[in-house]
Amino acid sequence: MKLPCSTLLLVVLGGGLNAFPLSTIEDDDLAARKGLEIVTESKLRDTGYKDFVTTVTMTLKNKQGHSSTRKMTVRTLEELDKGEKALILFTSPADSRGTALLSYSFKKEADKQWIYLPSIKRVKRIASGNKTGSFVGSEFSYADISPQQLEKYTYKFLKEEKYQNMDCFVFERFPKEMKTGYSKQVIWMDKEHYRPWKAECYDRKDKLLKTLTTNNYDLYKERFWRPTMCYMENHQTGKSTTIEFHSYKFQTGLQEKDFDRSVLKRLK
Amino acid sequence: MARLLVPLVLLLFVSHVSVAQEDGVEGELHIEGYYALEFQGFFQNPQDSRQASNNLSLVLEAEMVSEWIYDDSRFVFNAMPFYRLDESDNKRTHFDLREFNVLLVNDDWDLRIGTSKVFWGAMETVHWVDIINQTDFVEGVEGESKLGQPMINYNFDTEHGWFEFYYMPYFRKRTFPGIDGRPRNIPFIDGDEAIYESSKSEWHPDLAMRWSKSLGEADVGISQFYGTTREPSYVPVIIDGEVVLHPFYEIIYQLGLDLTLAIDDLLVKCEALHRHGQQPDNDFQMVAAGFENTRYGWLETDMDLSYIFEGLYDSRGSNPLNPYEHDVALGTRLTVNDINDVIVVTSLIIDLHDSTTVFNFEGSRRIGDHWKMVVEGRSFWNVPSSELPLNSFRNDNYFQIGAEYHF
Repeated sequence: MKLPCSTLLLVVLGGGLNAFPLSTIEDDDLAARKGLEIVTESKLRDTGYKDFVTTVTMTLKNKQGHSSTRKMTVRTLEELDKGEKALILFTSPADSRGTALLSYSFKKEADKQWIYLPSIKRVKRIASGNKTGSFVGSEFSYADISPQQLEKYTYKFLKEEKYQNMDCFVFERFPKEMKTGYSKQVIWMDKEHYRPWKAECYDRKDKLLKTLTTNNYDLYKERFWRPTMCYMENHQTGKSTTIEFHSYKFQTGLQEKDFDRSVLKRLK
Repeated sequence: MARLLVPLVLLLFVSHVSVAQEDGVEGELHIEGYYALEFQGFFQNPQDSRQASNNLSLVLEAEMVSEWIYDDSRFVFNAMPFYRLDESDNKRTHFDLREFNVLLVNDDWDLRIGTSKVFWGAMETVHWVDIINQTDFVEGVEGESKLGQPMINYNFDTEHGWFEFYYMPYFRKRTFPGIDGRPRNIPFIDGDEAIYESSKSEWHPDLAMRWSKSLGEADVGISQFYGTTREPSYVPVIIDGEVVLHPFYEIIYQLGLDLTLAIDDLLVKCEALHRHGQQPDNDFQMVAAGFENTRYGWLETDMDLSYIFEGLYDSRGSNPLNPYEHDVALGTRLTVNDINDVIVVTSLIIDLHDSTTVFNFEGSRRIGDHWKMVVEGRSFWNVPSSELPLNSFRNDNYFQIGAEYHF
């Protein structure tokens, strides 16, 4: 999984935008096309990263303010034209250490996922309909933490506005068929580097459910921007989850076979 | 008793020497595991007055992993000693090396030498195709715990699938509860008095292979096993005027299939096997098939609810080895998705002919970063005296509370 922050928000507006007036665009078709252009440019700018590895600390906080931490290592592989693969290996808390999640995100077909349960050494398939479900109790859903395939959404450009002193595009994203748990997301992306900074996620009744914000982007390999922190707040339950990224290593030489189902059995 | 405590003290020592590490560093020894205190409570008097009532048990399992890279190959050493100290049953007090092996990983193949554990299968309520490891039956009558199996295991990857080969030079006897043990079979099974069809007894070389592949929405596995059956038949013997069963391990051939089909929210599953060489039928089939469906965000909450339906069939009909010969299993798994990772699993396995019902319950919750509470229960309802082998457990409804410390 490329983390949500990096991916969800990766979508950015692209070239062609200057041709449009800065005011709100009325025409739906035009807005859809401009939205898609933004995301396409964002994706294009992030294409070619090949693979990256990062370690992650996820802190869950409930309404009463109690918190709990999960740590994991995440490996992501880019497969041009096909999609992306991700392997998440849990390192904490102690009782879930060794649990691993392998997911394939495809541009067109339904995604595939397996979980590895180390206590019984079992690799178990997970139904791909799980996208709406909470990822290990966090406010991030499986859809949020999976690599984002732009083909699986439609878009609508809304406006340009300042966000934290940056000129940003604001656009909506709607899932096509895939269940994400959200009817739509409103995304803020800066015009200079096409990095997502904020996403408002709306529930099926079109009520604001969660807000995702990202912070402190760093540049890797002189091309790929990744945030060091993401924060997801649930407005309806008062719960929140923070994700910190401790290190990113790009182009480590990971290959397709490192994401085969069989690797789950040979991690140790 | 002192003899039994030594490994425990050693393991405790090891667990405290360990330094919690975030990531495996090459060449470093990495130690993790847990200890647990378990209490079992029974609701009725035992069928056999020698059997214990309430029971305390202490468990320690540690895992030591060390990894190094040499010349593009990855070597992993893995040791997992397990020890249980049981208040009532000296057979349940036991030590096992769940894992003790070296794994060599290369590009398209890997090789493992030593004792290890392998899981094959697709179903949730039974694991019939799973045959590499012997069941550590004293750990629980559901048979989920397995003994480490000595093996040379070679696996390789091709575009046509993943191939696994196993050579198993030594057979592990099934563990059975002692006279004091509960739940246990009635009449008593003396696991030490094993009888083998092969003249080489436990040194018969067993062989197995499996092919598996992910084909679109389906994950398929086909396996073969030739060697000493993990599931013994029983030979009655009269000892001091009492009937005692001795396990009889035959040489069998088994062909197995496991299949999982992922269709949107639904997992459709099947396991089937044909076994040859085991009496009384010599040839028989077992089939389990069903589905698992999950409601994510059940009832507009953060919880996920899975429900499981599995049909279970055994061509032998009523037999003392498998209680689920024409049964249906209904199960639920509730994942609360809270900060404590509360999970509650229940299942009912119902015999369609005489409505014998086995009820299973398991709930767990983490407390802080290291502690975990686990509550279990098992109940046997409407068990006629003719229903083998469940009639042994008629009075053995129990609950178990465990506190685990993970390090």
